[in-house]
Amino acid sequence: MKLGEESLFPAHELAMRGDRGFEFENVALPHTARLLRYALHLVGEKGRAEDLVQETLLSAWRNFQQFKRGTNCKAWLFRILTNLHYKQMRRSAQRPEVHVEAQEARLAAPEKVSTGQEMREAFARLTFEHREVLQLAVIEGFEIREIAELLQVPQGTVMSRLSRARASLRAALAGGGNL
Amino acid sequence: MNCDSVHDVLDLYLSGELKGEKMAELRLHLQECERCAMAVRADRELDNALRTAMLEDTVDVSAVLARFHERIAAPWWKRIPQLVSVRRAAIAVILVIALIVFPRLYVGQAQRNMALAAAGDHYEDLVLLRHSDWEQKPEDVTRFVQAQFPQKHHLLASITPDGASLEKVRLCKLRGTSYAHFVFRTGTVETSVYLLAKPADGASYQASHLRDGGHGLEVAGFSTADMSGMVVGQHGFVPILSIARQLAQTL
Repeated sequence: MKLGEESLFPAHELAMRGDRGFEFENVALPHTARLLRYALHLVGEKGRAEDLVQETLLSAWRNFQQFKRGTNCKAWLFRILTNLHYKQMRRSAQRPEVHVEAQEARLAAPEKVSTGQEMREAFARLTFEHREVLQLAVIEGFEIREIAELLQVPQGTVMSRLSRARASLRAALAGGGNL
Repeated sequence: MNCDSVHDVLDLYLSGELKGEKMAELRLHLQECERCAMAVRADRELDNALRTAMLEDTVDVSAVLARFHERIAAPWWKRIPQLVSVRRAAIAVILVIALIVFPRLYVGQAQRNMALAAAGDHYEDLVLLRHSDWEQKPEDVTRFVQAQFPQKHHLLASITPDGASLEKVRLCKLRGTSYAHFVFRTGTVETSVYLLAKPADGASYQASHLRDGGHGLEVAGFSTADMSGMVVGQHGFVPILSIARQLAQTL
């Protein structure tokens, strides 16, 4: 189903849910695909990622009255998803350790245009932390400030991670191994 | 702006957050510095290529949305597990149990303390003979009873154990509460009955029983609608428990 093109609920159900249902559908549910992409990155497995997104949406639905109209719903949903994920990780004590690999920043140069498949493979070889910051900044379009808030790190850390992540991606595209 | 400071603002520029004066300075520098312009162009192309590649690989959200829809459409009783998390439910159960059990433990402990105090008073009064302020003459005893229990007629007849006779009475303090301490004698055996007109703490002394209150004394507590008290005597010599039960019925 493509988001934003058709109603996510049958009309009679939306009518039963009233304005709140319409608003949630228009403001929150269009971010489902983004949430699922990020959840896949966090948990790595489709079934668990879908469960995490479902719990995120249910939590958002239950607490939708706390969401301030006009503020950034995408950031709000990602915050819920991240909190739920870390809560689950704490419960199962499985939070993956993030290895920060210091990498030499490569001098950026226009690269040969890679195919989508090559790019996805190169991206998959990056460290968790590099994939995370590239996903949030480049793919999901979060601002540096929002990423810092979501990951609970200073903005400077986000920017330096991004810089290293781009360098790693270039190295991966150039044929490097696991980065 | 120089080449080093471009690096500091590059991510803000690429994410569209760079505004105002800094933005103007960067643009000016990029016009003048081919190396930096190339670096910015390279990062932007890399970002675009990554975004395109990752978004080409679409994710199917239909299963998630179907399950979400199903969950929120479910009747409220089916949503209880999600409304109340298991951990919260467990905490609530523990709290409820604690609220039920702790007052009982507290009351039980209070009853035991009071029974020990009664046994101690009995021992001091009748073995150590520490007090002399007893009312012993019949008219003094009658006056005492009328003053302390004006609403209870024939109180003495009600509380005198079978085959026993009243010996004396005095006011005493048990853990800060004033009790009338009646002493009855059956041959050489003395039995104490401690009476309080209104229970100070409501539910106390309901059928409590302390087999060993020290010095070989047994204590049994009782309670009625407007009276509470304890019976104390030598364990094995006086039917303490049955006297207390009888008082609970007759008073």
